[in-house]
Amino acid sequence: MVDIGLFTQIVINGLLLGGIYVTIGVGFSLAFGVLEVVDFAVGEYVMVGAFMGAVLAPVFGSEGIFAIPIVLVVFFALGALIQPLIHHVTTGDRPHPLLMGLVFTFGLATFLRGSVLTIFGPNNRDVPSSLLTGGVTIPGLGTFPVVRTVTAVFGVSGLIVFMYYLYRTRGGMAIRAIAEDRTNARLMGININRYQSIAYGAYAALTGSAGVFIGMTFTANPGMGLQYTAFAFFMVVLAGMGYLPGVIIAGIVLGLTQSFTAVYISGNVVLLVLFAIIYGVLLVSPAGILGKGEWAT
Amino acid sequence: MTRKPKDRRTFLKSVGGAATAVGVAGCAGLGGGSERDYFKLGAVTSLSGDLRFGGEVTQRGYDLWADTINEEQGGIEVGGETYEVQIEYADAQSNPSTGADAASEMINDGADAILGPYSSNVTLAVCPIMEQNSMPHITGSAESPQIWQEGYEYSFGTIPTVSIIGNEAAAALTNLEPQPESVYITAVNEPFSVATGDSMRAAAEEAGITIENYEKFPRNTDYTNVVSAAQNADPDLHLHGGHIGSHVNLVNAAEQLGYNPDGFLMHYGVNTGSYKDGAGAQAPHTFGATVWIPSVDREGGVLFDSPQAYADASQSAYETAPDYTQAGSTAAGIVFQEAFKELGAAPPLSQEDKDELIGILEEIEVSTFYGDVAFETEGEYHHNNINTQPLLIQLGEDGSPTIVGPEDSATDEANYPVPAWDER
Amino acid sequence: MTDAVPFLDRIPGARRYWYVGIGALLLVWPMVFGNFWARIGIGALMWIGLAQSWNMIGGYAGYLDFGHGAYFGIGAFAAGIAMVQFGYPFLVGFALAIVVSAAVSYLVAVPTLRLTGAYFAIATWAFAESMKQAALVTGITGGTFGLSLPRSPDTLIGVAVPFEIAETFFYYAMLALCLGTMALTYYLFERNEFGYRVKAMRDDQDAAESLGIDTTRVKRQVYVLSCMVAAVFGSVHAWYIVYIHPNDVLAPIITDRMVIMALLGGLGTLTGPVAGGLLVFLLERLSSVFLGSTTFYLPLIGTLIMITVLFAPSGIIGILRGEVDRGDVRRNVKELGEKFDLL
Repeated sequence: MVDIGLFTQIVINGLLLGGIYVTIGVGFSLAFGVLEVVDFAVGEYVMVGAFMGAVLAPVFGSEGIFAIPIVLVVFFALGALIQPLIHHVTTGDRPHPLLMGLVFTFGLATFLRGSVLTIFGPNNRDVPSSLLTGGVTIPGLGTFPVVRTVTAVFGVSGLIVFMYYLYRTRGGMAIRAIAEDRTNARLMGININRYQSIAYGAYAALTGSAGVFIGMTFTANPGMGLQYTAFAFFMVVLAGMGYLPGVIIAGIVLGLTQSFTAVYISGNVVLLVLFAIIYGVLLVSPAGILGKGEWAT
Repeated sequence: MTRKPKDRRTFLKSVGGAATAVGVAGCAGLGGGSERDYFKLGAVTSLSGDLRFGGEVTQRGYDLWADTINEEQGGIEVGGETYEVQIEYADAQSNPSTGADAASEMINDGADAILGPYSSNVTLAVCPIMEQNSMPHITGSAESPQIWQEGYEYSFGTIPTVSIIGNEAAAALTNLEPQPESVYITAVNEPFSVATGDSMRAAAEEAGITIENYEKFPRNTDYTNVVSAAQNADPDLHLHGGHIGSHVNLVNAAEQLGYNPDGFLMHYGVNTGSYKDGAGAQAPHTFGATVWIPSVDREGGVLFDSPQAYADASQSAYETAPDYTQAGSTAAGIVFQEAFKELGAAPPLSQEDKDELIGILEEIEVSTFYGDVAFETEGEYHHNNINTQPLLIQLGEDGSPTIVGPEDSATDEANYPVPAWDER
Repeated sequence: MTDAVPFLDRIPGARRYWYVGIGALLLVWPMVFGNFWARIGIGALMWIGLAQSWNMIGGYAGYLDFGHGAYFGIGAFAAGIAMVQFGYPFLVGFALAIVVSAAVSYLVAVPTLRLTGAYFAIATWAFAESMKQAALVTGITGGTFGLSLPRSPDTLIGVAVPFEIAETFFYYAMLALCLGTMALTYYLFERNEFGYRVKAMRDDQDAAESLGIDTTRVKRQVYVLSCMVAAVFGSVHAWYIVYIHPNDVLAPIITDRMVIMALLGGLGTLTGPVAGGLLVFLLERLSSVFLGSTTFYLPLIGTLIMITVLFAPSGIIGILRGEVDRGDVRRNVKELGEKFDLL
């Protein structure tokens, strides 16, 4: 006899967890789709964002939310500056462009993680929030932790904003053109470098802000990056690489799978199940579970 | 395109020169002399990497011992002469493989004895090296029962295994009024944490309390699911084995979902700055386990007159309040000191001396500020010190710990049941 | 390409003496320098071998295998399970490592090698992580507690051997394995027609197919072979380090390290993994001895990787071969600057 109260709470947990994954998946999917960069540094952007939240929150009276605008701006600028480096190593007459990009971002990730570890030490830092505490309990359904709900809303909003930009503005059209055919886009006079930088900067900004939310939900720790890189990879594989709307489905699938496996099977095998699913999806349907991703190399 | 041969030659020469210099420096730094007028102890611990925080704790403990004995007594007195103590460190880099290499380096260096690593998995890689080289070794930190089950002859530990610590702390907690009737136990799926969880479960079983569930999960799990399942079982107490990060995640998730058992008991690391910083407003009133805090009512002994005297010494030397791992590390040094005295041999110690030292360590009983230290000589706790009494502590509003159990050690009454999250 | 003279030949006829000198040094290393440096030697030789094994599939064949470390762990646990759970001597574990890794890698190769590029990378990485998680929850691998291998003189072949199973033994074992791997790579990839087929497939798969090369078969052969090599090193490592746990021998850092070593050294070259392996291993292992005990080596390695990828993508060997010089770097920087056209 399934306990309805627990069941609905697990569903809520899973959906909200999915919401957290969406915040990471959106930017990453954009980066991969447009720039064809498999970015190993994504998890570290989350981590640095969380630490910025931890450091800035006291300035704003122990409220992490107010760090977000600053994080957005700083990460956008950083991303715009890093992107040309990535572009450089993946083009030109170099051998193994994909590997170069991957390893470069891996080097960047190691650098970020090592720097934060050296500067801040290995301990946890709280990203406090006096506004986003506790949970909202709806009788008959369950409890919605406030900070996670806001994070999920942020992720979905980010997705909507990105979609709007891509499909309803000229800048977005330029980026889509670049994603489809870079050579032709350049021939048409589109400033590849600028738009790629904008895309990567937007991705970094969103991911850094996601980091602040994640810091408020959990905690900030220099070693937290690797698991979010893993989840970002999960997201784009399930969503179909480069297919933004798929990110929501992917998030829901991942979140619910985690929750149900943890409670109804065993907490121990959660990660095993997740990794096995990713592996299986890639073998069976590399274009994502909806089959809409680009089957690109 | 012609290459400038001079550039490359210079480059290669400098690389070759640097490599040779490194090699020579390395070799020169090793191979201890056969004449020595001080006791040389090697210390293997993690001074970099993820476990750096813990490694530094042991380093403070070991250094405080050596510095104090050198300052106050001029060293260790053997056969009418006083010999200084010098500790040399090798970094395990939070990695068993590197730890083993570091241990080998110390042995190569001709140490008289070794002070051991912070973490259990590094210790498990270091002990075989000690065994193979017949080198006496005391760890002031590692707690995993696996270490003692291997039955190593040359390795000892001053901190009681976590099977005992977890068990006693949980038992003390279940003795509080009003008596809890049910518990929910969780543990991170790592050797140390599972051992903690197992020991807590054993305590609950002994007390006849209902165990709603015993759930294990990987380190990176999301705690909302853990909390929801626990909440559904509505236990009186929640017991958790893990490291600091998992404690923080657990109480944060509990606050977000409004999960309010009468108390959380978590081990290891409740009484650390990292937990208090990470958990923020959720930290106060958490129960934890320890074998020593500065306010414990124990007599002093060799070298330090009382627990408070030790705490003061630590404060003035490092500006930090010591935790039990640091205390256990200093105790390890004190045990060696007493053993050397009983051995009566001048440094450098020969292999016969070291073998005799093992016999002495097995029989020795030392009274220290940390507690009474003596090592088991048989059974599953072989060469572990199980004499020091574990304590149940609780964090106050300001985060400072008070001893609330077991009954005869308690200095304060526990704040139990603890206030709910929204009442704080 | 340049007409530069490889440094071993700077003095005509010196190459022979280089080889003899290095060979002699390697042979007497543990005897002359003692246990600690023997251990450093063991580590370096093992990582050179591992980097070379990754180089086979990643450098020569061009497939970014991000799950390669799993086979190191499979080899380690094969030895561990054979010795601890079944009480067999080490050589049985060694053989088991070879057989199991061959079987598993073949089963993985068939479906996974159909993917390419980033997809292949993520798939292999997901596979490796699944292996680690599985090892953590099954009993035979010791579950969450790991395994401690026995090390008495009769655990090598079942009867007592006249030497100690200690650093000197492991050094020569690793030396043999490492030299064997180098020789294998040399003869298969540099001196044999097989190497041409592999490189042809890497450079242009369709063209290779049209020439009659069965690229599927070639891919699988390289993959399986490279995984078996990794597993062999894993099995010896397990016995050497005594205590193995999934979080150590099945960790993603193992793959990451192999990749970095191969890349920094020079992909698809014979001596690249040697240079890269030595550089990264020594930097990590000796950093605390010479740089002071900090985590400083992490950002240092990260920066090194980024700079190498930016300015010397063919690695150290590329630099030594004269493929990269000041003019190249200058041109590189200029091209890079052009990309910063933001406003």
